[in-house]
Amino acid sequence: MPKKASKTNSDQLHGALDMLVLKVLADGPLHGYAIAVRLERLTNEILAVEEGSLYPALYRMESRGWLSSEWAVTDTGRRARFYRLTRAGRTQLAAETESWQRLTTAVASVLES
Amino acid sequence: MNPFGLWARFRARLRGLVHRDGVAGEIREELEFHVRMRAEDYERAGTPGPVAIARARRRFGNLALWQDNGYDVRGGGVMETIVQDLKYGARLLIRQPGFSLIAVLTLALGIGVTTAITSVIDAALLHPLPYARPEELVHLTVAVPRPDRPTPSRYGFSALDVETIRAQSNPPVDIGQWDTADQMIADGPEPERLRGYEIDARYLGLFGVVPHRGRGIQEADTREGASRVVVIGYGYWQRRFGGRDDAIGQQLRLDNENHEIVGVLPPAFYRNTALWLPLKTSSVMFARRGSGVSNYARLRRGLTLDQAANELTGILSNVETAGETMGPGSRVHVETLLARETYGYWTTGNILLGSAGLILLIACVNVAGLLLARGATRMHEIAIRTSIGAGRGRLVRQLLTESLMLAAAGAALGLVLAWWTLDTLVTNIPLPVSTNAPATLNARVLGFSVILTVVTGVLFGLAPALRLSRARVSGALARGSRRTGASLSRRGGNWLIGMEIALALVLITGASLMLKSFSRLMSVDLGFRPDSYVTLQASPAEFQSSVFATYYTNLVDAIRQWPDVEAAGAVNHLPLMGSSSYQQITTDDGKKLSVTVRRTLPGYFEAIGLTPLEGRLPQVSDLTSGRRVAVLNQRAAKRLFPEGRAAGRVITHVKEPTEVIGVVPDLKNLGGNDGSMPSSMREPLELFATYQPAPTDRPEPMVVVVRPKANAAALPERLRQAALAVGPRAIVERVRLGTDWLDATVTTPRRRTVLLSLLGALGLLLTLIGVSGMTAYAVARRTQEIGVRMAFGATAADVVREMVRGAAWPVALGIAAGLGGAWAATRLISTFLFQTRPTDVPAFAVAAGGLAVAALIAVWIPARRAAHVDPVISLRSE
Repeated sequence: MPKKASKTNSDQLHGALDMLVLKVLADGPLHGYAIAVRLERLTNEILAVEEGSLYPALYRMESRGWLSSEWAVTDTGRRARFYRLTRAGRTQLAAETESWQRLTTAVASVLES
Repeated sequence: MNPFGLWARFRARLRGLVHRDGVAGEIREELEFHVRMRAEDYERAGTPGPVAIARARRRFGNLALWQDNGYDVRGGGVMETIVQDLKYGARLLIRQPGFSLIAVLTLALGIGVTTAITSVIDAALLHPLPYARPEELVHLTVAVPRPDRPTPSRYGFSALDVETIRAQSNPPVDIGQWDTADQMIADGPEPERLRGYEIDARYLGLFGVVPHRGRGIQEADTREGASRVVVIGYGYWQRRFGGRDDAIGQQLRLDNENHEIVGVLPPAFYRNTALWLPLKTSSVMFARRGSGVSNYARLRRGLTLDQAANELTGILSNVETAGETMGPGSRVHVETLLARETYGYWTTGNILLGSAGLILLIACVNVAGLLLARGATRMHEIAIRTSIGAGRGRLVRQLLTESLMLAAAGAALGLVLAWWTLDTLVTNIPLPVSTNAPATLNARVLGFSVILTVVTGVLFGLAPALRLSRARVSGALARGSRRTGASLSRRGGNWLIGMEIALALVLITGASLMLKSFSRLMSVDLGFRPDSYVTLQASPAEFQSSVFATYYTNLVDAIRQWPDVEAAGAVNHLPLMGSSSYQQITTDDGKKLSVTVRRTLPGYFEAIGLTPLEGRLPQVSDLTSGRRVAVLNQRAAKRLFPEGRAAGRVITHVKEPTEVIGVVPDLKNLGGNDGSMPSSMREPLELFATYQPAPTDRPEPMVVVVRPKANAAALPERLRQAALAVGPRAIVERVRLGTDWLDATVTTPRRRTVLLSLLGALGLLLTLIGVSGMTAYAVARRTQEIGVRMAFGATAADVVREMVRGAAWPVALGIAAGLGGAWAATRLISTFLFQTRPTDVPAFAVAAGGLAVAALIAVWIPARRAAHVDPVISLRSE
């Protein structure tokens, strides 16, 4: 069943990226570039894919209601689009964190046994 | 919210659309900001400017691609998406002109027919009274219960009634009276016979009609002994006076009396009625009800029909008319003019609208089938769009936009079609469209069309859109095949074919019944032969009894001499002409009988093809013999002389002794379609008196009837010449064939038949196009399979047979469903049918059989074409 497998893969990938973005935004609003820089730093560039792929993900999360966005001026006086976590986004982050931890615990316990 | 803010946002959005920025621009700005920031970071780390930018870009990936993908996920603003969808849809429709053409034409036919019929119904049934507050306009009668009949008799008010109501301090209604006037001879350079109405001083005011020139009828005009005046209609004013203002004040000579023209009515009020004369009340009729004068009225503001009826009944119960008061149970009946004008026509209107609706549904099913079939070839495209994040809602919206574009294109063409055929439809539709309220594509009709278009677009677009958007993405992508959707659309296609056949069968069965009914109606034996005579309607311009008498005698004498004329005579009321007069006759033994009297000149019976059952027919010599002679019809003869011969008996008619010289067969004077007429008119007792007018009689025009020999050439023109040659000045109205008279009596049934047959044919045509088109698509997708099977030895005939067999099921089920639908629906037209039951089995069988054969042929043609392709080519196709 190649179809099912590929769907799960991409879902997991999306899921991981989403969770990281939500995590990064939990500390406060950021624009897209800042999110990318934080992700890089947090993951030690393990997840370094084409940076452009961040944006469809942001829009998708925004359309799901996890994020909200608005144009604002940066510290250096430039116009940029800032993303902010919504209440639904926080709930989603909590849920994903929990399920991720459950998965990693399970995987870890298998590997250690 | 601040309205200016809203406006500003709207303008910003519009600007965004025009400049192609908006959401797309925002996304671009955001992504460019990212790249710029990255480049600056590289620069700060020591990379030279141009290299930094290049590295930043590389790291970001393909900017345009991410921008597009971002746009696909995020979607534009509503308007941007619509514009995008529209552009995409338009490109697609232009790329497949064959598909688009068939779809648009199909929809244009459906929407066009529906719009045109809606327009006529709007004019004839919904808004036939183009006056202020038309719901207040009513028709008043006195309803007197009749113990011997189920419905009360209705009489018009007497003049005394009207006077009493008008004398009330706050009358419930404002009454205007009218009556039809006899045709009058208007003398002038070209004398002619004109129709008109007699009206009182209030009549025009009821409708808010203000004369176009001059004045209307006034109170003083209607008094006895007032000088003669006439108001003329707009059409006559244009025709006779060229629309000149000096028509006012001129004398118009009507029936040998001068009438002063005092006014012209506006074009929108009965423009084809020439004369409006003052309604004069004779003192004899003053207190008598039911004189033939009609009473229209406008209700006092806010009064309901019941309240008005109660008030009026109260007022009239004290009025003594012709020695009687209103009997117990008598009431004033108040009926809206709208109900009166449209009475009995809604059945026709609903059936036409229903038929048009069926056509539109068939068109929808057709286009849905085509969309589904085409959709199967679009699976790949849809899969790509889905995989880059377009949601199902987004896809459905795109597909629906395409449907709505098709519907809009169809509607635009349909409106042109409706506009183009409207006049023809109006003159051929069995609904009354007045010149006061002509059928137009007005705002109401256009609004309805717009709604219809949207509903249509969603109706035919939604099912295919939902079906396609649900399709599995990865399968389509993986195989990259055009055939993926085949099974999906084949099953859907079968459903649609079945539906289409069922809908079409309802229409075709209706048409089949109407045709059968009409042919029965036309083959009724009337007792005379309309196809064997020609009629001439002419009269002298001089309105005098003696002039009329010699004119017709001389005219008939002259024509009788023509070598190619078998017989010629004249009669005042021709059969199928629809008018008659009653008089009383008395037999020599004192028996009295009221009979229909026709006046004839010798030769009349021979001309319409009658031979006497008894006695003889009148001769020319009877006119000068000094004795009065008459002929009875069989029914009257039996009634008067049940015991023996009628010929030779003497009766008294208009106080003169008259000899009955013969008896002729009974005729169906009203034509075959007389079922709705009272039996006194359907089965009349008739007396044919010879035409010998007394000088005091009102001059009465006659119809000259001529039976030509087989090869009489140019007869109509020669009759015209003869009519002008005989008298000093004559008016030739028209020359008609006997069959024209017959046709005129079946106008309504013929129009119904023609219209329903045309709608049936249209439904059939659309269905065949649909079935054939869907089959062609299905076959095209199975080309490879067909190739394989033929390579393994199947013959072309095998393949065709299998295709046709595959289609036979949906066709058969559709016919079964259609027969059920027709069985339920045809009872609606039962009142239109003549000697044909709405469930007439042969008519059903012809419709179903014909449709089945036609549908299978529509499948067979594309199947055969596919089966005759070289197998090698079929196998390579993909």
